[in-house]
Amino acid sequence: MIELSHVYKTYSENIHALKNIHLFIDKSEFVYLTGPSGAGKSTLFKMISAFDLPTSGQVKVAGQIISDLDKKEIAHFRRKIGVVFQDFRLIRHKTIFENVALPLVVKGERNSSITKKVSEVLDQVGLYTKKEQFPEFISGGEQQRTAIARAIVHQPGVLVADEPTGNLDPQLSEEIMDLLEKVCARGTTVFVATHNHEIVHRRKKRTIEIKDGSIVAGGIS
Amino acid sequence: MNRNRFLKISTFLITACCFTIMASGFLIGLNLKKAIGFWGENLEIVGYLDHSLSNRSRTEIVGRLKTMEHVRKVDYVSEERSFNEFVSQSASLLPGLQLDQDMLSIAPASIVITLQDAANPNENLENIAHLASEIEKIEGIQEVSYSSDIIQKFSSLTTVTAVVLYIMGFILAISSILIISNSVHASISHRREEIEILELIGATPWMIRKPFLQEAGAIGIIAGVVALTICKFIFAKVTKIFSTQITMVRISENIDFFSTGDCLMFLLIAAGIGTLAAFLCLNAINNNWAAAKRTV
Repeated sequence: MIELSHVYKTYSENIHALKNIHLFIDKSEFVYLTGPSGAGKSTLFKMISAFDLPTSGQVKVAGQIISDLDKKEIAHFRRKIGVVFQDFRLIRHKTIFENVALPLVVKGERNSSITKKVSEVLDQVGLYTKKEQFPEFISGGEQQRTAIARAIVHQPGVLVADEPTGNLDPQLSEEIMDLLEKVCARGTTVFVATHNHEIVHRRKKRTIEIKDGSIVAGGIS
Repeated sequence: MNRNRFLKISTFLITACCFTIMASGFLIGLNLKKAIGFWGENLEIVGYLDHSLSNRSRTEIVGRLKTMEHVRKVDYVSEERSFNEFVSQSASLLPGLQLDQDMLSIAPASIVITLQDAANPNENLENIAHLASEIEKIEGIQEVSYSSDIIQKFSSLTTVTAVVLYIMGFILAISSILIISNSVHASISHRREEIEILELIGATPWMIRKPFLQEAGAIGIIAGVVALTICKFIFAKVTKIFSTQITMVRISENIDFFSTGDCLMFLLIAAGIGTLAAFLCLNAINNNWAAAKRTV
């Protein structure tokens, strides 16, 4: 589902963000990505979600080679994946329902279908009763669950989460990880970057470790 | 949010002002052309006849003039009719003036030639000048008169005015584009996060641009409607003043407001200016990699 081979990312003045990355993540797999700040986690995630291109090498996600896509194809590619960020990235002036509905609106689905799917996913993440509220009036954990609901409402093949528990307390972090595991159990490949070693050790999932732009453990399962 | 709203309102007001000035300019230009056209249509050449001409010669001259190109109507005015008209026009100033043979000998017989309508006022002027020179050559015609100088000066003035108005219109159109563009730019900055999120979930560049284009187009159309409404109001006031207070200048009878087609064309241009402003702005800003610039 996610395949990176010989991926290098070099910025100006020979700053190597990623060096010779080989990575394969299968369908429905749950994988953690760990590593210190500046190790290259964010760069890797940008490439997987088509927000950046490798200097060399190939990034293949959901059967598509990212560097071969044009602007329009990139937009369509992003409809096949879900992305969750540490800072939630919710639109403040839209309700929880409207935020979650966005991927379906972008896909051009009918209102009746949107209402049904959004209601279902909000029910799954336990936010159905708060669907008319605005993001600033709900807790951090609820905001992150909203972001996850938005990332899975269109049933993506791949879910990429960059530090999804970074702004949350331990209890809420566990809740979010439980939710992500549920998503994975339904057939979605989940790739989570985290600093939280406790969670990683306790969950006993495949873990890829990255350091100074290179994978030091767990690259190929 | 409030700053963005105030900016939008001020953009709308300034654009409406620009469009009002533009529409007023176009309206003035349109009516100046009409005025000269109307003047041209009513232009007459008067050929004064030699006293000694026989009736037969006079009839021959009238017949010859009728066959000339661009001539619509030829009206013969005898000495007697000429004098009567003079008496009736001067009745209030010279009440004792009576028709007698001595006075009659002073009044010249004349031929009044009215031209056919030309395609445009300038053509009317050319036709008149050409025809006058031809008529002058006819034996028995002592003098030819027509008010060419005034019309030519007026025509030149109209041309200069039109050029000035077009330049002003162009400058105002550019100003409107810059003003709307600035507003769209601010709107993009204000909604930067939203744009990034839309990119994130797979919105195409067109999907992201569309609301901004629609918004700017709407600003253009609404500002255009406001401008036309203000112009219509001013036009009604001016027409009323001319028809009630300055009656000797029959301007109100010969000026018109924009036709429906003109109004629609103006609104189309207004919408085009708005959309173009947004398009130029979006082209420079939205490169579809906005989210990549943030650290994830």
